Amino acid sequence: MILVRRRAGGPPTGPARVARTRSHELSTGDRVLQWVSGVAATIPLAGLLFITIILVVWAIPAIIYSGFTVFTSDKFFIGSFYNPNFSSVNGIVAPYGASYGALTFIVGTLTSSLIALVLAVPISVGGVLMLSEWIPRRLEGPLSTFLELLAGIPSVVFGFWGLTVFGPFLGAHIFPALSHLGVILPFFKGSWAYNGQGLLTASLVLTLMIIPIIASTTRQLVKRVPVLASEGAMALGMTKYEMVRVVTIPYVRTGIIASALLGWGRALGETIAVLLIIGMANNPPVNIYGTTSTLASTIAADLDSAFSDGTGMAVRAMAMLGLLLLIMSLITNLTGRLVVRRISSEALPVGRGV
Amino acid sequence: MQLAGTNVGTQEAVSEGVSVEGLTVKFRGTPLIEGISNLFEPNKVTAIVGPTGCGKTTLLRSINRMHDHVAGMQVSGKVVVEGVNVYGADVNVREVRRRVGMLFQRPNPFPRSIAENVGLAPRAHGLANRGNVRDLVQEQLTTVGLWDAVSSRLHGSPFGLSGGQQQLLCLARTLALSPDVILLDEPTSALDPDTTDHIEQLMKKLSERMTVLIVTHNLAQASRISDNVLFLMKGNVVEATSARTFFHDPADERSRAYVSGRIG
Ligand SMILES: Nc1ncnc2c1ncn2[C@@H]1O[C@H](COP(=O)(O)OP(=O)(O)OP(=O)(O)O)[C@@H](O)[C@H]1O
Ligand SMILES: [Mg+2]
Repeated sequence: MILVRRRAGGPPTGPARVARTRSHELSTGDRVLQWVSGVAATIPLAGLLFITIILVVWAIPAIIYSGFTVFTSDKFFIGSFYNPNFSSVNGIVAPYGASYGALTFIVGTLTSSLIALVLAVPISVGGVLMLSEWIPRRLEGPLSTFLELLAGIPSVVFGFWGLTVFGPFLGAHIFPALSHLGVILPFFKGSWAYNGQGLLTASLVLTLMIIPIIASTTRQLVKRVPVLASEGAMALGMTKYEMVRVVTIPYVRTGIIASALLGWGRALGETIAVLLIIGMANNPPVNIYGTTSTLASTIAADLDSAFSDGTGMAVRAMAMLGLLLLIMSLITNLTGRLVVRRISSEALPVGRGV
Repeated sequence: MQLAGTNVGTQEAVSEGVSVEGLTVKFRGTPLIEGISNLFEPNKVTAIVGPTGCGKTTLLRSINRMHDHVAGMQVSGKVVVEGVNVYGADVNVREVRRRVGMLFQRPNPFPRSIAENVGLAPRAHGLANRGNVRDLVQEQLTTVGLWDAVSSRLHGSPFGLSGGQQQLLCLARTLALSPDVILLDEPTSALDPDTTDHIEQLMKKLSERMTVLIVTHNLAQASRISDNVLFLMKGNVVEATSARTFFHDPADERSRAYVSGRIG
């Protein structure tokens, strides 16, 4: 009981603290449980540390070889393996012409995941609020089943569908309409692949993939808004829309930010669906429809051939891409935690006057 | 028939009270209130008393149509506020709730700033605008005696206030719509004696310009502040009379038993 309470993350309460100082009084069962949970809590951290160290060790030669050009150059070329000459930079030898600029993949990863995030958050949050406030209770069951199913679709199926059905549809019917936006937003101008392969199609499929993550969290949060609070708004004659704005949203905001960052992490790391849909071009996208590639999809696509590099540098370059992806995921994750902690510590969100 | 009127500021409006006629409330077919009729006199404090589960809250909530949002609740009969049956065909529920304020058993401020708590509803109802809402906020917070305590933290969170202060804030929030009727459901049951006393004084004063209905389990409180008493048991009226009569010479044997603490 005491252990359970401590594991729940609450501050140690009086009795728990007392129990800790008297740990010799714990029964054998308690002690085993304590030990097991201690180990269980350490495993994820140790795993993360281990993976990071391996990636760093593997990536070091590629990092020394490239220096800052990793971030500034979009020239990623693993070199001509069969050329008798080699390129040597900073004492590191790589196949002739090898260059490991990752800018394309960084841009591709950030843009595709951010577009997906920007679309998925309003769709999921708006949808859940609509459903919880305006649509009959009867639809709740089917809806949550639908969300679970959506979450359960394997990403390769998403990729297949995006490549064969959704992309061609977008290319034929939606992109021509969207291109009119080019008048105001230049990156909507220009051409696209006939089958729709490219950044926007990939982002839209990613949107579908992260909607369940954000929507299911939002649904739980909305359910936890105290009835008393929403009744307070209704008793003042507020409309449902006003009630949602005044009560529901402030209550769920922190949780939504957290789930959005979770969804963002998912979009950053998505591999196979993006690989099939984004076009895998070795350059940043020329416009919002343009083909490009991401860190994760590049690793998946190129790792196999990287092993044919006699100098071993291509695999190290892949490790470097993996490290970049890991760092991005960690940054979104940690920022998320920070944001959540900051918002929830200032009692509750508060606006600027009426 | 003034359900569309706006009379912010001029709070001397003569109230007609609340009249309940043949009110029945059922939950999934089971009656919780069985054909109650009563006139809640204007500018009087009426205490609604009775043993737990007798339907006090249910009665109160049918006056501002809070049952509309509870699946399975069916209300029949009439509730007439200012000459208008609030269950009538083309009644504006929003305006009904503007006219009939409600204070809950536990404070439930919005998770917004203190000023917004008071100012948002009047803004939503078009009773105040960006320019004069600050004055309204100050006026209402002053009315409930909270201004000095919060004037320096108007843009801070209400959750930093004490429970009693939060309840006063909720009262100010309700009063900001200048209601004609105010419904209170055990408003002081979670509060300290000082705040309770303060709210009781306010009730007395507010009854000069509105009809006050208060549910309470505290008979001493009922006798201190009420002009009339409505005594319910099992969803029916046992006795509706003046507070003096109810506490000193009740007509019904069950009232006598309740007052002397033998039931409830
Ligand atoms: N939402 C609801 N669903 C089902 N039954 C309800 C609901 N609200 C109230 N009831 C039932 O209606 C009856 C009257 O409840 P009500 O809350 O009006 O009593 P009360 O007089 O306010 O009691 P208390 O003094 O304990 O607050 C009770 O039997 C209660 O179980
Ligand atoms: Mg009650």
